[in-house]
Amino acid sequence: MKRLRRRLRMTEIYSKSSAQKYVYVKYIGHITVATGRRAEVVSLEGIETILDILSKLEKKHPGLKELFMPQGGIFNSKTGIHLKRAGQPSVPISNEEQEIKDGDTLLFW
Amino acid sequence: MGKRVFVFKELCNGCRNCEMWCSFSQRQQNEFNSSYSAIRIIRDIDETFDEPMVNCTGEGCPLNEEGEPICVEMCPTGALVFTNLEDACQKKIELAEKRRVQPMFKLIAPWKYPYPWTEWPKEGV
Amino acid sequence: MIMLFGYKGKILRVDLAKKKIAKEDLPEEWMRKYIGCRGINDIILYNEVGPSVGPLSPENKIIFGTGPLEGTPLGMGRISIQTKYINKSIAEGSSGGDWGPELKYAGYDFVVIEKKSQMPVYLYINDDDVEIRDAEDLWGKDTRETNRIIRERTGIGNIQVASIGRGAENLVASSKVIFTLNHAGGRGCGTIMGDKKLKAIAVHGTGGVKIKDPAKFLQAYRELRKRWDLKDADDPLIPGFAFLSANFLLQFFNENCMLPAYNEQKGSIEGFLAPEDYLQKYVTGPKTGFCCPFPACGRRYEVREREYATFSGDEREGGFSIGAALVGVTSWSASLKVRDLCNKYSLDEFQVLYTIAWGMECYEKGIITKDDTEGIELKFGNNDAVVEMTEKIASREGFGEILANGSEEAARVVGKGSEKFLLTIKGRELETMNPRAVYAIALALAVCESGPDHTRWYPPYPPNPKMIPKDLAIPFDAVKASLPRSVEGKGSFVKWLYDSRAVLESIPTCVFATRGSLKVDMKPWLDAYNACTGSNYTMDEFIKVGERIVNLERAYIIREGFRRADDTIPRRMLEEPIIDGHIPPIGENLKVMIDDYYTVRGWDVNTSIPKEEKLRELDLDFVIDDLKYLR
Repeated sequence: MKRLRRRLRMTEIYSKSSAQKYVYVKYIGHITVATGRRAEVVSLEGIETILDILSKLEKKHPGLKELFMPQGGIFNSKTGIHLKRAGQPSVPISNEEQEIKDGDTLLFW
Repeated sequence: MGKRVFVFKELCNGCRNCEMWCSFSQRQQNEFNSSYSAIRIIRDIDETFDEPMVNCTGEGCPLNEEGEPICVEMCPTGALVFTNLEDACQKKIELAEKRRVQPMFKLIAPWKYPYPWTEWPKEGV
Repeated sequence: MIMLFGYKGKILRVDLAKKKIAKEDLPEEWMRKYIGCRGINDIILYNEVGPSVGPLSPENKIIFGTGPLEGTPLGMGRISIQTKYINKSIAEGSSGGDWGPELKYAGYDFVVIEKKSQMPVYLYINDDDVEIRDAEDLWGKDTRETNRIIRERTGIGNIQVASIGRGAENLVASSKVIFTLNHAGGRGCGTIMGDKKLKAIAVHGTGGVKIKDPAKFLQAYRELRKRWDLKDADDPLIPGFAFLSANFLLQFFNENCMLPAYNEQKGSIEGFLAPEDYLQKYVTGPKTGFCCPFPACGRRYEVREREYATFSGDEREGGFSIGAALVGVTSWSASLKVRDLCNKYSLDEFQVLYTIAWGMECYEKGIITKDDTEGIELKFGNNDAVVEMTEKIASREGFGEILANGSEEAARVVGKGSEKFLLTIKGRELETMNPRAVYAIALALAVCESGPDHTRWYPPYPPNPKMIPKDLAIPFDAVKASLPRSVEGKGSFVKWLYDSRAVLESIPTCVFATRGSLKVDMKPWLDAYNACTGSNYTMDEFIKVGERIVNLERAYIIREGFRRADDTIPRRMLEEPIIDGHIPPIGENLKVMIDDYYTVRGWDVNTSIPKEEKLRELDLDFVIDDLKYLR
């Protein structure tokens, strides 16, 4: 019984950790002033592209999406977002369809 | 009540834009020379502070489209305002309160800062 | 004497040995061909300080130069100091502050210091009254005290003083000149000034600067102000730099692994300095240079922590806080203290930091021991060691004696393979810009005539191709140039950077104000220059002035013996990757880029000597004879 319970618990933990995916978001300069924090962790539920992340963060920090996409769907040149994946140098994002994966770090500046 | 130039000296960064442009628009209007200017930036011998000294109602000054004298237009931090006494008092109180909660307003006036902002720190930075 | 607008038309020549002052007229040909500031400094140096003059001999000259827009709000107080440095190349630096405008108001464009003085002296300029005064009791005092004493002694409260401190008096390599307390400029010129025993230059003026076409000047300035507007600016670095200046790049570089951490071994640092902490704890208000259009390009700070005694001041250059990653310093109060010391003793913080970082790497790898450093633990992250070592370098005590001559000389003394860790180009230390991450920086650093100097080609990131106005013809491919790690199109991009910055530094104006589309759009500055002086340059002629200045500088160092082999970057950038950023070393790409650059420039690809057709095209015929027999 104990072994069964332990196996159930292990599968539970295993499935939770593989189900929950996270992305680290960091802010610098005047974006820190806009959001009031330096970094936060955003869960990847229901999120596939950078546009989804911005829409999610807009609910928490009103006015943030306007800073990055004033025309509602096109990145402007007044701000920038960099994407860092494990094992690769960081690159700037210029396409709103850019896919975001588990473990990525996004730098909003 | 009439308008005049009010000063918030804690926002002055000592750039002397006001001094230069005031001298430019006085007299023959073609020279940058601080002895013609109606506003001066005063510093002590070790330069520990910058304070604008001015006593001007904007008379004889070519006002721009927004009705501001040129010193107020060119000041980058918003340390100079051209308004009446009531509005200046309100602005001073607003500046003092906002400076306490957001350090960005040590560097620029809240009415000149164009981006969204929140109090700092918030929810464990 | 025709009425001059913008210029004052006078050169002040000061002979320190005979204690004589002479006032010369500025030749009109120079104003037309080289504009001013850095350009005219170059031609004076080319004509009068040739290959036969030793850098530490009395025949060497120091030139303090201003331009036509100095003293106006567009000049932003920039001046250029130039001399011939110990490594035989040009030592040039630019600085801000109120000193340059005050020199214009006194009635002079240039000050040329000649010969050497036996005893310490200082130069006093008050409109027409120019004197060389005794400074024996000031020798040994730091720059703050000198400023205060001269102000009290002359009785003029706002006299502007350019002085040197203990570091330059002791001939520490690469020392600077400090302009009114906290503006520093002229890497290397402080050493020569200390050699000539000139302690300070104090200037006071009551005149002004006249403008030929005031309405057009105001219009050009308003147009520029619109491009610098915080709300509408089309460059993400404008809001960042407007409030935090280069400190903004700290976190940006740290995340992208571009920081020069631990003597450039890695790209990011543990516990880096967060600008928000700085803003919260230490900043008291904004403080900028003369007529800066940004609210807080510099900040006043106050430190009350016990371990670094209470002091206050103002800073605007985060080059120090980025450089703090070199030595692993992770506390704001320690880095502010070192910066304060560098300004008091007129040391160059890049030279100090890079040399100490080299020393730290040698210590950690066992090449030098605690006996050599007399008990100081030179390990990365040791804040107290950095502060103590800075003091020792300024007074040339103990291990500081070895470090004070620069890291190349120190490597020669220490030996044992320590040359592998050097980060120098043409004998001068680097300037915290990372060549492996952005190839345009690598090319620009390699071909710079005066050793590493970032104001000659700043900023090295082309603007977003979508933001360039469609009718603007630019001489490089913006899309190719914007890719950070590709070799294509870099030659013409870096040529554009050098030419446009050369003319901008000659007007003069601040190159940090060129952001967004202003990096490629020179029209507002051309309009302002034409409106100020009454000349009628076209855009081609304007850029040609810049090209002429760069070719003249290249001819100068060719005459001194520099060739293509000296145009390179440190071994670490060519061979080692940035481990934590997964960025490869540059390797063979540098050779390809340099070939491309020389071809676009019209220079010989093997020797970098400018070809005859190019010199004739630029009206530099007198240079052709000098270079004819050189290979």
